[in-house]
Amino acid sequence: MDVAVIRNSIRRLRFERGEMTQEELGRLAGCTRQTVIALEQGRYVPSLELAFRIARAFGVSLEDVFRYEE
Amino acid sequence: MTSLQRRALVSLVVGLVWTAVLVVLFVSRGGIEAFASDDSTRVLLSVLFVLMLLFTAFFGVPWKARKGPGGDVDERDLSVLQRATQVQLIAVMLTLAGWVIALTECYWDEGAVPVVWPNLMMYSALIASALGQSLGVLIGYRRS
Repeated sequence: MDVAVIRNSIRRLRFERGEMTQEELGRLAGCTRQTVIALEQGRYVPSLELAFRIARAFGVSLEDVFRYEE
Repeated sequence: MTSLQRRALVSLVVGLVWTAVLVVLFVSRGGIEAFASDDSTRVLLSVLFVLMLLFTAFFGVPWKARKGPGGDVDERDLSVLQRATQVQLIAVMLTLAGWVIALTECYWDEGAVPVVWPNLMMYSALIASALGQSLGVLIGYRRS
């Protein structure tokens, strides 16, 4: 079975929204700036709840932020 | 660095320094003989030991760890904290295993271990637990 990876477009979406800072996204999504950094670097996979909050912070759907790749 | 990382780092450094102070005091005041026979030595070391545990308990781990908007820690911090218990458990197990093996070898022929040694076992196991948690948090962030 191939290893599944969850990738995200958080960094691109931040810059598309007036260069939103990591701290601002963290505040909107309810996580720390360090967690946003870890997410963007692919070092952390968020819970479903946090993933939905991040998508809501950007005003887009979950699939627009996160991709499931095998 | 997250607030939990900062707390763990300070707690680890303070814990190591405090442990070194305890060891130096223990040795300088006469070691195991003084600990067993001198009440003032035993009380002094016990008080310092309890103060160290209290510092670690109140400063090392955030009491009001909350998840969600506005919290001091978020879900990633909480998962690191949960995984840190594995390092904590290993530290305690290694400490106890080391003591049991050493004391067994030393006192096998006598058939009994002087009561002072279980006291020191307890102290060292609790110190290992406190330091292990701080170390586990720092390791957890490196690997996440």
